[in-house]
Amino acid sequence: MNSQRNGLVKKMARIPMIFWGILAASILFGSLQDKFFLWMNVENILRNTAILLIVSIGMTMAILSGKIDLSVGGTMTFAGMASAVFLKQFADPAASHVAAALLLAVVAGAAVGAVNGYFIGVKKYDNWLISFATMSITFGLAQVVTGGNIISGFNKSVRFLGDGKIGAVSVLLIVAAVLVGVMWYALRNTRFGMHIYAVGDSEQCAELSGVWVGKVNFQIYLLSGIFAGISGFLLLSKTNSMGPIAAEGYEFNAIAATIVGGTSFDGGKGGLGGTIFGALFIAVVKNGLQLIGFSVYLQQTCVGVCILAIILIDVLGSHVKRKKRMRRQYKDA
Amino acid sequence: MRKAVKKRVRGVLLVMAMLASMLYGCGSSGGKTEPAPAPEAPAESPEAGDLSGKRVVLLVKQMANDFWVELVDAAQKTADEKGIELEVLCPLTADSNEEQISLLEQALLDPPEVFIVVPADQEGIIPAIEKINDAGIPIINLDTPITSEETDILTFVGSNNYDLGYDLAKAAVEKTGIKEGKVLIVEGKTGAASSQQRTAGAEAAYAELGWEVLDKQPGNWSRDESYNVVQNLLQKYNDVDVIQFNSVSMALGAYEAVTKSGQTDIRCVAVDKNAEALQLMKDTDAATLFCLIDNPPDFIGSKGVELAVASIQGETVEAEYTSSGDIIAPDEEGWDALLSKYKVQ
Amino acid sequence: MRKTKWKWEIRKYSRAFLLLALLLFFSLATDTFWSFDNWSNVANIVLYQAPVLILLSIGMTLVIVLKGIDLSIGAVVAFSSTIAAILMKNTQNVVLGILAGILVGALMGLLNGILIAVVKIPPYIATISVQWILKGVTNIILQGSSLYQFPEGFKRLMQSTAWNYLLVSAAVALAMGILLTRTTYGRNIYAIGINGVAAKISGVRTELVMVSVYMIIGVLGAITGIIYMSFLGGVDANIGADFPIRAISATLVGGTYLEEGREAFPMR
Repeated sequence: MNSQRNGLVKKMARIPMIFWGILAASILFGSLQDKFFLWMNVENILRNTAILLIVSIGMTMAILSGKIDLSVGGTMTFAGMASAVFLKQFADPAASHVAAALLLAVVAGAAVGAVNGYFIGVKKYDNWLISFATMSITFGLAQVVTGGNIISGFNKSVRFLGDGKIGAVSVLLIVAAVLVGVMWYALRNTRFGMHIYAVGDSEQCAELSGVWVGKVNFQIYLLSGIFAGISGFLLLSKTNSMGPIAAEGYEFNAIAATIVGGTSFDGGKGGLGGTIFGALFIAVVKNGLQLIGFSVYLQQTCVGVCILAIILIDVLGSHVKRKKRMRRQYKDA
Repeated sequence: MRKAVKKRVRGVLLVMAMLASMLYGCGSSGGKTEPAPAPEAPAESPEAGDLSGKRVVLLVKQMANDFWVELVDAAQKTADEKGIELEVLCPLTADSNEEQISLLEQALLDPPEVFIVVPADQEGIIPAIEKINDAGIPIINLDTPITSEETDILTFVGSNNYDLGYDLAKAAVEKTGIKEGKVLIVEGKTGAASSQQRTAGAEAAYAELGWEVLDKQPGNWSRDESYNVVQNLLQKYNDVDVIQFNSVSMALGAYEAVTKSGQTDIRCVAVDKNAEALQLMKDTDAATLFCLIDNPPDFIGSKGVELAVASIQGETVEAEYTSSGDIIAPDEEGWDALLSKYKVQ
Repeated sequence: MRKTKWKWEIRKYSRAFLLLALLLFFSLATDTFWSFDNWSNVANIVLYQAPVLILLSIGMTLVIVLKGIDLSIGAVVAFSSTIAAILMKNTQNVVLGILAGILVGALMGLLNGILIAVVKIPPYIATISVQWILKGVTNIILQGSSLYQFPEGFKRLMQSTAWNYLLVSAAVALAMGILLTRTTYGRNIYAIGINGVAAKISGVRTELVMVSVYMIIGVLGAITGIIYMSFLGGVDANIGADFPIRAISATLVGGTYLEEGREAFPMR
């Protein structure tokens, strides 16, 4: 009988604390404002998270391996700008042009990622410094390309991926779900994913165990750049415009989503599942506060408080779990 | 182990106490009341009748600036007078097109009678405008004109940013009386439409009048960035006659940089006004900061609400209402009235 | 052995070399670089822009050596200078205002420190949340407008020490450098940064050191805020928006990150 109870409790304990946080916040907001639970609102929340989530995939991988990629915002802007400049040459871009633009964004993102990957993975320079430098360079390049102007005004085919619908479902959600789903599986079940966790836990140990650390690091930054490129294009598609400041702050939000989602800066702990919840949580809080109708200033303050609160709960919760586990160990002994 | 938990809990309690006291203290010493109330209607009105229960949504692009606060306040006042409910939306990140789009989409959950929209990006906002058009709700556009043909905008209220830059430049040339002067332009945020148009107007005017625009740099609508930018610019150019700022807050930020630069005869002009600038001009007898051009937020805000009400009541409205940009300087008419309006001593 | 030592020496002074190289480049690239006007303006820039960045970067260096980060520094600057400004205007007492501002900075540092060291929240999350909270609170207080017209005493105080800004911040930088490299306290900071658990077991009082480091950067932020008050002639809620990035970049470029942790010299 004991084992039965333990099974259920164990399963419950494994769900990240953040999930309860989202539930609690949702119930709180929903009770204060019943519009919260309308499908339209939920869909809005999901769509607001989608782009951030795709960027955060790369960020999560980087943080899992004990590093960071500060350049994702810049890469998004750079890749998005490249696509925008390309698309603006056509008065009415067709689907093939849009596909080409998306490819351009991916290539641009990959290029930036490769630069990052080379200097950090192969040359083993400091990842903070390199990704910071790349961030400045990409933001600067984006400004130079357009002289600081915003490029906006695209037609429906460009906006399809970000803003269109297939039946009743947003295309953006489908894209995000596919990408996140694939990477989630990859991180947990492929050798590549295992290597990332290994490098995060201890680069030395991984190296000694035969993992080609340099290659893994390179691939992480390459993928991060590619995802950032895709997100840049999607941002363009969703908001019908791309400017030098459009993706401002995305790197910080991506890091926040990853950390709030339970991935630790030390590396080797956490995962994409948590990041999904992390990104969702922030969007839920922002949405809920907005629906309640607080003034902007109060909203800003409350977002900070909520992030703090959820992390507090998470930290305390994991501490309690650890204590319980230790107690159980000693009790059996 | 237990001691560590206790310490943690104490830490948490201490933190919460600090946060709580901070919030409490700030709430009570906050001074003015918040300009954006919750959706409940705040005031009664003499002619409630057919407007009660109707709602108008106003979307601005930021609230960290006197201009927008005044605009929202004026809109709120007009809404109270007319007896209609006003809900104010604002993105958390200033000038964020993405957030504006999601705010508008969210607002469609409980659609108001009319939307009043100040877009951060007049083309970027189009996806949301289209959805509002699909829902059949009229849109009033403020400050930054949405000019796309595919969207259906009821009317526009605002200043012509190009004219603002142009007229201010002309006033600067006339008032200084210099023949072939040199000017620096401090712009707003890179890529912001209002900033670009003001700069374009200014450049055109200076070109016409034979002045040379030495350089233009963005100051990001920010006081301290403007300070740094102007300091750096004045190092590079030492023959500057006038600096034109696309917003008065940037001019105020750079004021000290200008006066300390050693180039004593530089004079500044700026778009927009606020109490601090007026005070400064009065105190220094408009020596350095000598001329502003008016971009009246209160007119724009209240006119927007007026037109919203008019459209609800079925009256026809015109396609656009542009406000005039009056030159503000001690020697212009209306100076004293402005001083008393902003309570400048 | 001798070869590696030589390389290390170059690395140590590489930043200074870079600075020299930059100066050389600019002097060759622009013809106005060596003119008298230019130097007086350079003086202005060095006088007014550098001290602010130096102060912030010193604090940030300490924090980064601790393997932490402080993203809230910009918001602390805005918040503490707002409080200082309010007090100064309401009581017309300059000293009280300045002290209050510094106290607020210290308190915010205390808050950060407790969150990070005692409650063990990752520094990134803690400081980003504090940043949002302070931004919101400052906005609530100021309601989008600005505060200006400080008492005459304040202006006189700030004016009279105009040239001393650079000296003071250089002195602080020197003091911090000595603190980091020559005192036990400084060594402790390095130790915590390299391996927090080992440091704790070795007897370093990690919580105390961490909290004090964050308080230091808080106080430095408040001082920066007060200096900025005199530069800008006023305070508004948007001051310091890009401070964290600039301080972090100055620190990184200066070569700090778990390595020898040299002093960061801002080169912007």
